[in-house]
Amino acid sequence: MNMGEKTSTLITFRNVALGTLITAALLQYLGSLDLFNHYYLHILTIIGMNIILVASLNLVNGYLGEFALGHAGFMAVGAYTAALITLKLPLPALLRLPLSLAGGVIAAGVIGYLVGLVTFKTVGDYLAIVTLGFNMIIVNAIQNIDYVGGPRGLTGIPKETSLVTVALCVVLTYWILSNLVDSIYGRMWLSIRENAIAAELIGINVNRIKNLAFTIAAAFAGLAGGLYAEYQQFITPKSFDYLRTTDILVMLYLGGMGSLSGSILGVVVYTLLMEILRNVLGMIAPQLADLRMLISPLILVIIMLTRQYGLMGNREWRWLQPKRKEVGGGDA
Amino acid sequence: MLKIENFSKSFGGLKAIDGFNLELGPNDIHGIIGPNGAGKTTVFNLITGIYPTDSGRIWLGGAEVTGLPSDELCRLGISRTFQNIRLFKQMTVWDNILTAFHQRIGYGFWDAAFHLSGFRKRESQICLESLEFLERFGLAERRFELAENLPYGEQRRLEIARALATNPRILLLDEPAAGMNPTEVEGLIGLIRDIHRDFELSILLIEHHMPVVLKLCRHVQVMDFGRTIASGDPHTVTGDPLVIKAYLGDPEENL
Amino acid sequence: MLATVIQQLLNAAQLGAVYALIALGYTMVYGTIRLINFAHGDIFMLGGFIGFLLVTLIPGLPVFVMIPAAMLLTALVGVLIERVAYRKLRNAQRMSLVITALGVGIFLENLVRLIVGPQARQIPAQLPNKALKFANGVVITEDKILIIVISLLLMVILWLFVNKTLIGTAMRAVADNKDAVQLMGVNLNLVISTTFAVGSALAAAGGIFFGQAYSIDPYMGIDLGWKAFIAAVIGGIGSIEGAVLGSFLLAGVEVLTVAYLSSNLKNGIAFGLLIVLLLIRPNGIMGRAELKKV
Repeated sequence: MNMGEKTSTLITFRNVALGTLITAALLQYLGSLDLFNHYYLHILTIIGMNIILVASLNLVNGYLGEFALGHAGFMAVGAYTAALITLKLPLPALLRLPLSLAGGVIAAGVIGYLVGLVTFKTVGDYLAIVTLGFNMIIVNAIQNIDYVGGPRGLTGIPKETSLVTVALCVVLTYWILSNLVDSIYGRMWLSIRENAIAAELIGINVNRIKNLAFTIAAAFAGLAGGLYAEYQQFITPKSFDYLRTTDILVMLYLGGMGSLSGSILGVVVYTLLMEILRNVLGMIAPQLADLRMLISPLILVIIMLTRQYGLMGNREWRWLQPKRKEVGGGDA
Repeated sequence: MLKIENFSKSFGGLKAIDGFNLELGPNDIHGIIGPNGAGKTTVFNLITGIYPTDSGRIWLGGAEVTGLPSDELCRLGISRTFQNIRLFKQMTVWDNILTAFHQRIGYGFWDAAFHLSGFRKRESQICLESLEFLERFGLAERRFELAENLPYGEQRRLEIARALATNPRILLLDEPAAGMNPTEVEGLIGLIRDIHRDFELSILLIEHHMPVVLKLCRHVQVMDFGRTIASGDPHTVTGDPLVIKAYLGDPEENL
Repeated sequence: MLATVIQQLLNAAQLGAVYALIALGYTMVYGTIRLINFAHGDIFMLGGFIGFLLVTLIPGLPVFVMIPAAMLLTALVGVLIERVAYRKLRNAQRMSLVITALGVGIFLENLVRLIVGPQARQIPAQLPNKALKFANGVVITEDKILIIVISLLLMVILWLFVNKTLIGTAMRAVADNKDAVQLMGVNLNLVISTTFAVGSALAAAGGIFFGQAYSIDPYMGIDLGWKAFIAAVIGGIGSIEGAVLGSFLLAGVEVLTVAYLSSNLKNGIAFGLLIVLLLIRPNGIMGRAELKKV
């Protein structure tokens, strides 16, 4: 028990969050003055959205120890809901982003809840296959609804997303997720992963708690989807298929199951790696740039064969660690 | 407190439990003994809802609880430990206990998601309570260690502590003395005695260590092939020739 | 009227045959090493493409040489994958194995896509497809019948293999109790490699037949693999008879849905069938209840 460890109190969640927001605002401002490379801004924005996707899936595949596959499906629900809200509803400009994102989150959360309800009660062991199937059904369904553009997709979505808004959402996501992890819910999820039978025997309604994580993960995927729709300004069902899901998975396992820090690291490393490969290989020969499509799954296999736990394992950076509890009610 | 009537359970073609009955009063300590494969753990599994019974009924505190799921049974007051210790290995000792405190956590989802004041207050209260709980079991010093790093005897103690953290009316202990050396066994006997005295509960104990059974239990039931073959005072029962035959085989047959 | 019904039945039988050829691989691998081999759907796809490449690179190759050749090559790939990616993780956490399988699958998809391109293709060497005319205006093409018959033949051979040969018995023993089997001197690696080889070969046949009847593209393994796995689960995962039964059942429902409802619903129906069935019979139609030891 280290009572006197007051070092590094500068690196707290609050400070890192503030730092992130300030940096994002600064970079965006510089970008608007053409003083910061727009391409880098773009990469950072994509990284931000991916962090939300990966961290939320981490709740189910990492902390809870399940294997859910269809995350892109919930992203699609959020994306299309948000897009429809901005396109079809007359809203004052300032409210467009928050309301559409809220709509995306709620829609994705509801769908996630329903899928979880059916899945955990009946086919829990086959969660992977069922969630995968669900991802396909969602894409399939969207392709067949003309109102939302069918296979051609939706265009002309207003560009409401910026680096700052993405940064805000990332901070919000991490705040909520780390709060939940550092509460009884986080402990219940971990206990289910460690020993589901024992968890049940200390009175935990395992299916309900599993579905809770699943719903939350889906909701945040919806948030990322909404941000994505209002950034790309154009979405098609194909943007949310199995391939997108597997990208998320690679980043997740690269970073580390059950580590929120790992989710950030995994996304950053993977995105940068893919960009570097695309540029470097592309310089040698344009066709070689596609080789990164082979390297991505290889990374996954190699992680599993070697470290098995990803870059961060299940460790956290200090500012994301749960606070040590001390007697007397104070936190260390 | 606990009444079981006519439990039966078959697995495939094998009848594991055949007409098992039991009555456990408040504050009783009963033992269930018998050779390996007699069905003792299966009875525990049936009581705690891990397997559904083929037939039979069970009452807890007068109310029927037949067919209820495990988590609900726990909320109603049944708790157990396992033959192969089932701790949350990659969680700290403290978290193992804290998780078991979930029923009395006193804050909801939104409090937790935003770490609102309701959360912070209750969380520190629960930390205090759980720490006192750990101290009582001599585990407070190691509260930040991962459960899997504890020595075997303390792991057992932690499992028992966790089972008690849910405030049970009945505690089922499945071979708690397994793998313990004589000193640890003495410690265990003392621990169970203390628990029985301090918490108001009934204890049902499966054990192979006869000294434990003889020292703790006021009543013993012997099982063989899924049914009760003898029951009563521990000293009488262990002298019963039927019981000896069940454990050792028929002495006449070996000639 | 009769003509359409017969057509639909044959379509269902053909689709069911393909599903079965894939589902068998899933069920055998799951039976022996408890792995949902996510790469299996991609093995099916790979088999189809190997067939495609064989006839493209060796013009004039007779189709009845191409099929066994492709099956053999795919079997080798399956064995190689097991050896390189799965064997080391055999005793590790189940999750690691599943994730690795996923990675392997993605790798295969992208590899094929990079080599051949993402568009759908048909396999040029056709099975004889003379249209046979029957009474009542029923017209059946030869290849449909050939596919169904050859598939059934393969399934019978598999059944004989698993039930009547020594190594087949070893496979069943491993599915029952992996550790005990090793203690009895059985070469576990050989048994598992054989399982993968046989499963992959069957899937390859399925891929080629599918490429004949429809088309092949690098990502077809995902859609069909998912459904074939569902068929295996419906029939009872681990059971060979169940995989076949589940496959024909699923194909029948799917063809009926497309014919009389809408082709958009077919995935949802497959999904729904799975859920409904698992509600009624949690272990599938022919599955055995696997008891968790507590």
